[in-house]
Amino acid sequence: MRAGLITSVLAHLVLILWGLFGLPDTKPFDSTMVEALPVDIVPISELTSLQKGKKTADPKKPPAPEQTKKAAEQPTPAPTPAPPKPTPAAPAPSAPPPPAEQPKPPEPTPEPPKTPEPPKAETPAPAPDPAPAPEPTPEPPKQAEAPPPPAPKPRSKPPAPKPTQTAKTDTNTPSQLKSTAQSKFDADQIKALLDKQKSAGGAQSDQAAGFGADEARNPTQMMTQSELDALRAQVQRCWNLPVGWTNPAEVTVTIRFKLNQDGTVNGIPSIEQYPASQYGTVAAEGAVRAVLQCGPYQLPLEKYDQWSEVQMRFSPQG
Amino acid sequence: MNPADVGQAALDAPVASLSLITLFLQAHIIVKIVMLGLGFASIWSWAIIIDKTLLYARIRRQIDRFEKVFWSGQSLEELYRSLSSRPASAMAALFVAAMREWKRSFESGARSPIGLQMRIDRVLDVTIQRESERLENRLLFLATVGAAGPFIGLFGTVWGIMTAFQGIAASKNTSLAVVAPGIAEALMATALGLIAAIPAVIAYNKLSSSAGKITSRLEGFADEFSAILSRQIDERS
Repeated sequence: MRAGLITSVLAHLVLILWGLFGLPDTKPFDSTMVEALPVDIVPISELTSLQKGKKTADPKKPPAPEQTKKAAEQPTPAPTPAPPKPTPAAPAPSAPPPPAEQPKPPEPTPEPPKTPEPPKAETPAPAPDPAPAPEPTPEPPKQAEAPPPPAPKPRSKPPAPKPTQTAKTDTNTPSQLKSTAQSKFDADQIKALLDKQKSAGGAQSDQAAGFGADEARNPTQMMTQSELDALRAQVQRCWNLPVGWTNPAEVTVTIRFKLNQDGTVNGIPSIEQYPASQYGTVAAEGAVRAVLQCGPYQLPLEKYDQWSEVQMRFSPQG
Repeated sequence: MNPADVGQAALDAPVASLSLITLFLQAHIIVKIVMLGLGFASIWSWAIIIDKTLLYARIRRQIDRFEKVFWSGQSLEELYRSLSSRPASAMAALFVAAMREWKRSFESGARSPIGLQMRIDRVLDVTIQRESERLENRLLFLATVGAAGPFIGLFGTVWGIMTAFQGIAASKNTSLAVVAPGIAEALMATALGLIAAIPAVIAYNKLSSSAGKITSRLEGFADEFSAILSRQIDERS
C-alpha cells in the first residue's frame, strides 16, 4: 500500500507542478486591439427637459427639484462675487492680486463646506480680469500671475454645472487652490501651468476631448472636436432613456461598435458595461438601438482608422 | 511544495491572474476545502489503483505458477511440505488449508468420510472468503469517490458561483470581466471533482472485475481440489 501511496502522491505533485508552470497560461481571446474611439454622450439639456416632463407624469419628483435648485444656485453665487472683482483690479495692477488670493486659501482649509463658493466667485472673474490686464501693460509677469488662477477655475467648472456634481466641485477646489499657491511662489511654474492650462483648454468644451488626447496617434489623424460632436449629436437624437430612473449611475451604459467605411454600423454593437439595476438592460438596449437607428454616420473617410471602432458611453450625468 | 515553488508562484501571480494557483487562492474557504478534499480523494484513490493493480498482477502470476506446479504431477504431500511453512499465493493458501484439514483428520483417525468432506469444503470456503476480502479491500473507496466526487465538486461550484453572484451584486456591475473570474474559479471545483471521479469509476469497474475473475479462479480450484480429496477419501475408506 505504501508504494502505491507514494507513487500516487508523487504523480499528483508532478501533475500539479506541471499545471502550475508547464501548462500554458490561458491566452486572452484574440480580440483585434483596435483602440476604440471613446465618445461620451452626456445630454444635459435633454436630461433637464426629461425631468421636467416627468414631473407631470411620474410620481418621482424629488430628483428634478434637486437638480433645478442646483442649477439655480450656480448662477446666484456668480453675481455676488462679481462686485469684489473690480476691487482687486482697481487698487493694484501688480501687488494686490496676490494678497487677495492669500487670504482665500486659508479660509477654505478650515471650512471645507465653503470651498465650493470661492471657485464660483472666481469663475466670472476671467471676464473682468482680462480687462484690467491690458491697463497695467508695463508689468507683464505679474499680470500673467493674476489671470492664471482664474483661468483654471472656469475650465474645470464647466463640468460642475452638470446636475448633482457638488462633490466633484469640492474635489476640484483644493487642486485649484494649490495651483494658486504655486503661482505665488514661482513665476516659471506659473508659465508651465499656463501652458498646461492652455492645452487643456481644448478639452474645455467637452470632457470627451480629454479622452481623445490619451490616444497617442498622429495628430493630423485625430478626430476633431466638431467631428466627435457630430457623431455624438447624431447618436443622441435617437437615444431614449428608460423611464423611471432616479440615479444617473443606474442608466450609464458603455457600448462598443464597429463602423464600415460608409458610416454604417458593422454588426451588432456590443454592450461593454451596464449597471446592475432594473433599468440597466433597458438602458443598454436603448443605447444599442440608438446607434443602430441613427446610422449611417457622416465621418471623414481619411480618419477611418480613428472611428472604425467606437466606444461610446451613454450617461445622462456626465 | 517546496519554498522555491511558492516563491515562483508568488512571482507568477500578478502576471497571469487566472493561473490555477491564483484561482485556488482567490476561492472562498468552502470552495478551497472542497478542492483540497477532492485532491486528497484523488491522491488516495490513485494510491489504491496502483496498489491493487500491482497486487492483482502479482496474484495472477502466483496462481499461474502454482497451477503449473500443482498439475505437474508432483505428489501433493511433497507440495504441501514445501508450501506449508509459507503459503505464497492465494491459491497456495487454499491448498495448504485443505491439506492441513485432511492430514489432521487422517492423523487423528477420523471415522466419517462425509464429515471430513464437509470440513474440507468449509475450510476452503472460509479461505476463499478471506482471500477475496483481501482482494476487494478498499475498492469501495474508489466506488465512493466515483459516485460522490462529481457531486462534491458541483457543491463547490454552486457555492463559488453563489459568492460570485454576491460579488456582482455588491459591485453593481455585470460586465463579463467582473463575472468571469468568479465563475472560472467555481468551475475549477467541478473540474477537480471530475478529475478525481473519472479514474476512480474506470478503475473501480476494471479492478472489481479483475477481483471477481481471481475469486472465481480460486473457487474453481477449490472445487477441483475438493473433488480430488473426496476421491482420495473414498479410495482410502
